[in-house]
Amino acid sequence: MDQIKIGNFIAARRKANKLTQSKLAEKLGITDKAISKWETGKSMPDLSLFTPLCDLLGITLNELLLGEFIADENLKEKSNQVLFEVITSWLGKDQWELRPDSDNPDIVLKLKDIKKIYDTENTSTLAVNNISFEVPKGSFVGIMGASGCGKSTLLNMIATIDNATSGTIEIDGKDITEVPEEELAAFRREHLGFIFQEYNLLDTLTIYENIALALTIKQAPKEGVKQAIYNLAEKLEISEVLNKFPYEVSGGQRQRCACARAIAVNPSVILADEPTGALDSYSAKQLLETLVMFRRDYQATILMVTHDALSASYCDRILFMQDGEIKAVLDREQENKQAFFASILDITARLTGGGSYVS
Amino acid sequence: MYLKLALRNAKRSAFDYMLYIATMTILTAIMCVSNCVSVFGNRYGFETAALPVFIILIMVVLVNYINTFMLKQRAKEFASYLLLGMEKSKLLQMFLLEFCFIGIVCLFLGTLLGTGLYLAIFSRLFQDVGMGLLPMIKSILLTLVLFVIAELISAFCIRQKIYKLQITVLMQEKRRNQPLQGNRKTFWGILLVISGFILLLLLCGIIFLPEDIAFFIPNFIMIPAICCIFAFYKWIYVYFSSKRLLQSNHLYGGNRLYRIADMTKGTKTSALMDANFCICFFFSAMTFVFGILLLNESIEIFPSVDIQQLMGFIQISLCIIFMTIYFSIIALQQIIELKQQAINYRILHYMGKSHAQIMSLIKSQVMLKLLVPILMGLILLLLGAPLINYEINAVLPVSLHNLTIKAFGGFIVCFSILYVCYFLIVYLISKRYIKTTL
Repeated sequence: MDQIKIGNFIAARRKANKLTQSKLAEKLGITDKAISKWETGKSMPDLSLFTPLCDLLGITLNELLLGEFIADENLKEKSNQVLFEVITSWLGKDQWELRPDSDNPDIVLKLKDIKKIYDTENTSTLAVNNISFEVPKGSFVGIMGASGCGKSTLLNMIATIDNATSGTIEIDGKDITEVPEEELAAFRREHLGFIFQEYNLLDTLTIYENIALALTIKQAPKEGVKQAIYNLAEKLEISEVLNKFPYEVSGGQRQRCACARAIAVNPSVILADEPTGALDSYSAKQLLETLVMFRRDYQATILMVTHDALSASYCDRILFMQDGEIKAVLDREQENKQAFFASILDITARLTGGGSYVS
Repeated sequence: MYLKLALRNAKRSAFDYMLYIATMTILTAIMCVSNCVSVFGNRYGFETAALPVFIILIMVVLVNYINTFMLKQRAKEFASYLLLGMEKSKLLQMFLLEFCFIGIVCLFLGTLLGTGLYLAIFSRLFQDVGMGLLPMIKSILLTLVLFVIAELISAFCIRQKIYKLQITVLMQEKRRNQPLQGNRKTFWGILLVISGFILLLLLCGIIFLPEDIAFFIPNFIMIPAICCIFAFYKWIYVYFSSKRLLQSNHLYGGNRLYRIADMTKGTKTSALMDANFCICFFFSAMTFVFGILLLNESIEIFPSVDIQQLMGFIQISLCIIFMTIYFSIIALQQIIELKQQAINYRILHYMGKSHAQIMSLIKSQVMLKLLVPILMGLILLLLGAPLINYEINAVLPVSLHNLTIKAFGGFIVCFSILYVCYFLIVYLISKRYIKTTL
């Protein structure tokens, strides 16, 4: 969307309706300064002001977002253009990047015929049924499905927190179902990074110390800790809050700290369990872009569990789970993000019979 | 309505109040017994009025600490009341009602325990020297008065705290740490050195100055001692906080970062609490040594041997009681903290700490928790014991020389045994808890 064009259009329509900036501001219950910022293209009106503004200026919402009048004969074409622009700004504009080694990738994570059955006294519940898939190095894979479909159980098994009833899980070529209990912690330390929905930062440590703790546990050289944290913090835009405690910063900053903690130890796979679940849409978008950046700049391999189609649209590959099984797999080819998002919605609609997965 | 709500809250928060009830009950019982000792000692010309005052001071500090802890635990609940429109005065009324209700329970339990202790251990001995049940009745009344004073002081502090509270602050209160203060390290360091130096001078004064001048020194020697203890703990916490603020490389080895962060999360309160426990330790050492001296029949301080033996016995009992306060409260505090930190251990487990490594971390935390409060007391005893021994040797026959040093040694042995016992209890409870949590 062209903000300057929209601003000029608002100014022109205001003058045509014989309204001063003060009068328009008064009618909308805002300050003159805000109107001035819209008209110079420095900002956009808040969502709640769209309708009253259009009424006062005598234009439609499509015309406002396009920054020009729409003739009746062009209505369909222009409306589609507006909608497309809105979706583009919502989803982001990234295009498919062809990675050099995508033809012959190293497999970091490999699941074969994984089954998980929970047995109680009288009942036996099949939570995960015969799941097999591979995750190549440097890819961003999403597991999508409704609550209770078994995606978190699957993630817990990969995270070595839960045991599979049958099947094998290989991480970096090592079958974790064979790793003895006492060696699992060391395995997690060396190979896995975690990002949780509820951040799981330690409240007694500052943001800086939370990241440092992960490096300390991995026994990284002491001399390099400070610089590594500063570099990461700068990339993740949390430099200003490094000395604050987790409860003193926003949810988005907390989650980015959790991301920094996960990537700092350079794990084989980062496991993210609904990482955007507790975030607002802006912070969620920032976080997902961070994960994409990890994949691009650090060749990180990410496995993310989500129920949200928008979050899943950042992945290269999506596994759709239902009733403990993978029902569909969607690979992002060279299509743009909008087309990929549309495919995700198509599949989820097909699997759920029209149910919504956009939050 | 508020009475009903307060009673229900007190019942629901029973586990959280465990530390509170246990502390108050133990302290009330000790106050009750110490009042008996005070009455008995007065009759034989011993100045023991300071004992209940000393206990009441410990009580006020501990009760304030526990109130702050309880306020933290229930901050979200209070924020909800305020959000629903409850006025602060009503909230205060409710909290104070709970506080009073639990106070009455503790007073009852404590007095019962104290009286039981008195009847079981002391009453027959007192009857032998003609005191009967009189000290018990007097001490119960005195306990009641002192208890009410401690409660009133604490209630006033709570009132100040609650009136200052904002809803937004309350929402975060449980997670909040006290700010890291690294800027007054030099101040506390200088105060520590000066007060330590004055203390040493006064101790030397007692030994080397003429008796008519040295006689007055013991009256105010506790002032530099307390200053020294408090400044030491302040300095230690400020020192570690500054290490954290400077992001020193020294922190990134083993469990150091986690342990130091855990130590410094409540710098202000921890310094006060540790100083308090240290004084407790110091006092118990003194009563033990004095008790051992009194039990020795060759030393004549009291008019009759029986009374002297009895006083010696009481002194040692007081020492044991003070050590029990010390260990019981710190152990309880550690167990409650373990419950609060369960989520942290789980995160550490996710991040790659094995079960054994987490238990090793907890082991070092328990060891430190039980040891840190006596550090300064131990330093002071190591410095002071030879000087006191030298002074006392001067008035004792040669055959009893170095009895004071031996008594201090005996105290350290007793303390070490109790330390190992409490360490094992807390460690085993923690082990069991962690096994079910991870």
